[in-house]
Formats: sequence, structure tokens, C-alpha cells
Amino acid sequence: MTKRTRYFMIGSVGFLTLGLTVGLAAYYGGIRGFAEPAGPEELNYVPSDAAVVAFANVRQLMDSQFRQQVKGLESADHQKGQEELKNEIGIDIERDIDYVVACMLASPTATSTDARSGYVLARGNFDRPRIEAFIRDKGGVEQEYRGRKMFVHAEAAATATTGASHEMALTFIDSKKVVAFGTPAALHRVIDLQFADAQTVRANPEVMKLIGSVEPGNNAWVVGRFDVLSKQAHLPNEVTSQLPQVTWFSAGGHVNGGLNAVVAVQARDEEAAKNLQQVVAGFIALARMQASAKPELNAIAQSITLSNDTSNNTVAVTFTLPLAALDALKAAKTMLQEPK
Amino acid sequence: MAVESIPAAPPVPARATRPPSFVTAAFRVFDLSLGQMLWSRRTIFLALVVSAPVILGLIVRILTSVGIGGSVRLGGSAVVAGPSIFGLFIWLLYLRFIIPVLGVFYGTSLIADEVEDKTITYLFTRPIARGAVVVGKYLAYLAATSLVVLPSVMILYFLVVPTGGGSLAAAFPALVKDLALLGIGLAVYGSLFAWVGAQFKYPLVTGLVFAFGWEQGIMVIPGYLKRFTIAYYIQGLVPHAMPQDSALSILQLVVRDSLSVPMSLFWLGFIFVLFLALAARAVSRREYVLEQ
Repeated sequence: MTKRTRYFMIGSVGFLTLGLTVGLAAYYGGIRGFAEPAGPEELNYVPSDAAVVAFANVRQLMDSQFRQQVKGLESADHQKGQEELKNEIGIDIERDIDYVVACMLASPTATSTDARSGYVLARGNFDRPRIEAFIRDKGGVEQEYRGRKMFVHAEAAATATTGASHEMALTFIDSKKVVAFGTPAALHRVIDLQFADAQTVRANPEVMKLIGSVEPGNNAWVVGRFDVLSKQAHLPNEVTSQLPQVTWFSAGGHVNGGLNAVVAVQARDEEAAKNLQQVVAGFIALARMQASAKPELNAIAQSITLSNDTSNNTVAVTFTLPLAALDALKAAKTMLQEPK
Repeated sequence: MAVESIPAAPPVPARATRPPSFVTAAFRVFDLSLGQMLWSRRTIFLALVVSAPVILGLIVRILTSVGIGGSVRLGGSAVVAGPSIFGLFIWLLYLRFIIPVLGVFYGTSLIADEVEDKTITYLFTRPIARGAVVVGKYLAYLAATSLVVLPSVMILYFLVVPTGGGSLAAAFPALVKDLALLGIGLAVYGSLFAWVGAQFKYPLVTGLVFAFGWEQGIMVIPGYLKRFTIAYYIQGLVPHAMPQDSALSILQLVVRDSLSVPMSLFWLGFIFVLFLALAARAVSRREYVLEQ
């Protein structure tokens, strides 16, 4: 073998090895700034046992053509609420929030009587002194946990209906860029994660795999454990026993000139996946039959596709909601509002 | 026309030193042939073929980085999502075009080139088994093509996957599967066309007709005939190597009539062993006639 051939072989094998090493390093934890793992940075503030994780790119959603069309369907009260938020704490939802990450915490062993816990992390531009002053004005109490400031507020409405105190809390994570809002116990865990006292969701390969599959190309998504949620849903036993054997679910959507969405569920085994596919196929057929006489719904019904990935027992449904369908909905709404 | 005839499998004269074993002989032929293959005119063709997807990937990267193509969609999710584009490149460019083309051009030339250059005499007069010549040259083909094709896939991965919100980390298992799939494709196509090169008078034409006539045509016709193609068995592995998102559901619809992974691997292994053995047998038994 000549020297030239040997150098070529070494170079080629070296390049392959380097590429695979970088990919492997990215797969097992990420290389910051180069090959980060799936999901937004705020997943570092989500614990590994989160039952549901959701993401929405608020800026993209607000700027989308779809949103502009939906705006026409919103009530005046909704728009007034946005105005109040802007006047009181200086947050313009249309411009100031980049994206939000939400999570619901639940232990797999939790029962329906256990309290639900969770929080929302929002990244954007926030006027921190103004928000803190607003919370104090509304009766919020300032507390400190591990040297971090957080505001706690007991909601009167919740107390009146359930008889139990339903506290909500808020804390700033990254000076004024990221704010966390949720139950005080959950926010304690957010602060714990900042001290690296607990594992983040990035260490949970099942969740990260789902996020990796649903995130690309979508500006809103949610992944979660279906079995944990159904345990906490206060459903009667008769209903729970009829629920399909689903372990994980994921949903993602891309919103711009319409809505393209995918909803996928992972069944416990191959048999359950087959049964689930048959049930969903039946519903799709029914929807198509019902929509055949209505052109505005027919396009949506025809866009629904069902797929079954037998390698991991996943059944997925994709559908498209075109802008034209929204126009039809707007027209229907106008017709209903017209005086007879 | 004056011809020089080389009799089939000349008996090795008894000598004081023992002839090298089959494996040693194959390795020596590999060592000799790898350099010849890498630094031949055919390598320019190889470089052109494998650089095409890289250039396309670069274009995709530039277009997405300047914001063009962000709204191009197909099915339920964005086609511009990097892992989906990468999966399409692997299927449409590499597995359906580049791998068969390299198999045809390199595989059929393993013995045919030596015959054409009239240098086969030098190989066949050595005290080594003729089968070792085929195996050594086949291994050189596999090394030369893999060392060029697989790095180009790696470059494509880093160029395309991060676009459209794609994650290098999430797509890494798919990359590993794709690299393995391409390696299997090169091995099996190479084995088949090595036999074609050893057996047929016009191997290049025969190979091209098989790869781009028979395989492409029969794959779209329903029925059992597609079982007589390599693409059918490669296809059985593809859906599992693709990223599992909905953008590829359309592709999966096209390739849904496929075998399970173990069955596909079994048949690919069978084809590989069968045709490499047939190629070695054909070279051992055939009498090559060199035109003067």
C-alpha cells in the first residue's frame, strides 16, 4: 500500500470516527453551542419525572397567518384581557414572549387524590420590577427558597370552591429573561434543578426520544405519559378499564398558513397498537362520511392520515387545517351572530 | 485476430516454499488493488457522484439559513425539517442511485479491467487461488467505495439535519442505521456485480440494465417478481432507518410492501455470499482469452 493510499484511508476513517464521536456525544447529553440535544434550553428546568412536557413558540404562533385569521374569531373579552395584561404588567403577548415550556409533575405511583403540580416557563422580555410590584399590590407574599426570591399568592376562587388553599407562585430564573409560574412545590423543584440537585428531563431517554421525534418542524408540541395522566383524571373505574392500553402520547403542530398536526400514541404492546389503529381508523371513516356533505370540513377530513409504526407500537394521525377552513368557520360564526 | 489463451486454473508447480493461504493471498490482492482503485480515473467519477448530495445539502443549508423553503410542506409535518430531508437523501440519492451505480461501475470492473488491460496474466500466474484474486479485489472495492461514500453521508448529516429545527442528537441513531444500510448495500450490490463482471461478456451493459432497468421497473409492479431485486430487500430495512416522523409517512407508503428486518437481512446475506462465491467460481473455471 502506498503512502498516499494509507493517508487517504487514515483521513477517511478518522473523519468518520470524529463524526460518529460528535454524534454520539450529542446523543448522550449534547455539546453546547454545536450539537445540542432536542428541545429548548428551558428543559434544563424540567425534572426527569415530569409526566407531561409541552412547548409553544409563542412568537411564531402570534406572527402566523393562521393566528391572524383566528384573531377574527376571538371574543372582545379575550382581546380586552390582553390589553389589561399589557397595561398592568407591561407584557404584550403578541411581542414580548418568545416561547413557553410547560410541564406537569406526577409520580407514576400517584393516585387521583394526590394534588396536581406543574408550572409554565416563559422566555421573553419582562419588566421585572413592574411585575413584582403588581404581585405585591394583589396580595402576593414574597418568600425566599435557597436564596432565590419567589412570590406566592393564594387564589381566593379556588379556596371558595374546593375549600382548600390553591397557591400559585412565580419566580424569575434568568434575571428577567425566563419566568416560572406554577405551584410553590413545583417551583421549589425548579430552583433545586438550578443547584443541580436533581436530574433534568434531558436525562430521561423516553421523554427526550419523543421530543426529538415531535419537535422538528413543529412550533408547538406536547409529550407525556398517558397512563399517569389517566390515573389522576378522577375517572370512574368503568371508564378507566375501557381506556386503551396507551403508555405515551405526543402531539405536534406547525402553525403558519394553516395548521399541520400530528398526534401519536404509543401502545403497551403490538396487540394494543393494532386494536387502537382499528378504532382510530373507524373514527376517521366516520368523520369522512359525516364531512362528505360539507365542503369546508371535507378538506380537513380528507387530510387525515393514519399510520402505524410497528417497530415501537405507535399509532399516529396527521391532519391539516387549511386557512380556507377557518374562513368557512368565520362565515358560519357571522351567520350565527346576525340578528334573525 | 491473434489471441492469447490462458487455460483454466493451471496446476501450481511443486516448490520448496509453500504458496500463501487463501486469506493471505486475498489480503495481498486487496493491498495491491486498493491503491489502483483509489487513484484511477474511475475515482473522479466516484467523487462526482458522491459530491452531488453534499452540494445539494449545502444548497438546502444555505436556503434554510436565509429563510427560503421554510414553508414548503408535505404531509403532516415540515419537509424542511432536517432529519426528513436527510432521510429522503439517503433513500432517493444514495440507496436508489449512488449505491447501485457504484456497484455496477466498480463491481463489474473487478476482473474485466484486468482482462481489458491484459494484466490478468500476471495475477493468474501467481501461486494463489483465483478465488482469492476475486475476494481481494472485492474487498478493495468495498474499502474504496465505503471510504468515500460514508464520509460524504457524514458531511450531509452535519449539513442537513440541524436545519428546520432538526436535532443532531435525535437523528444520531438514524445516522448509524443509515451508515450500516449503505455498507450493506455496497457489499451486496458489489457481490452481485462482481459475478456479472466475471460471468458476462458485456458486464457494464448487463449491470446497468439490471440496476436501472430491471430493478427500477419491477419495483413498481405488484407481485412476487420484485423478490428478484436487491432493492426489495434493502427497502425492508429503510423504514426502520428513517426518522420516525410523519413527513416520511408518504415515503413509507411507497415502501410499505416490504419484508421484516430479519428476513431482509437474511436474504441480503444470502445474496452476498451466493454471488461472491459464484464470482470466485466463475473466475476459477473460466478460460480468459486476451485479444492482442
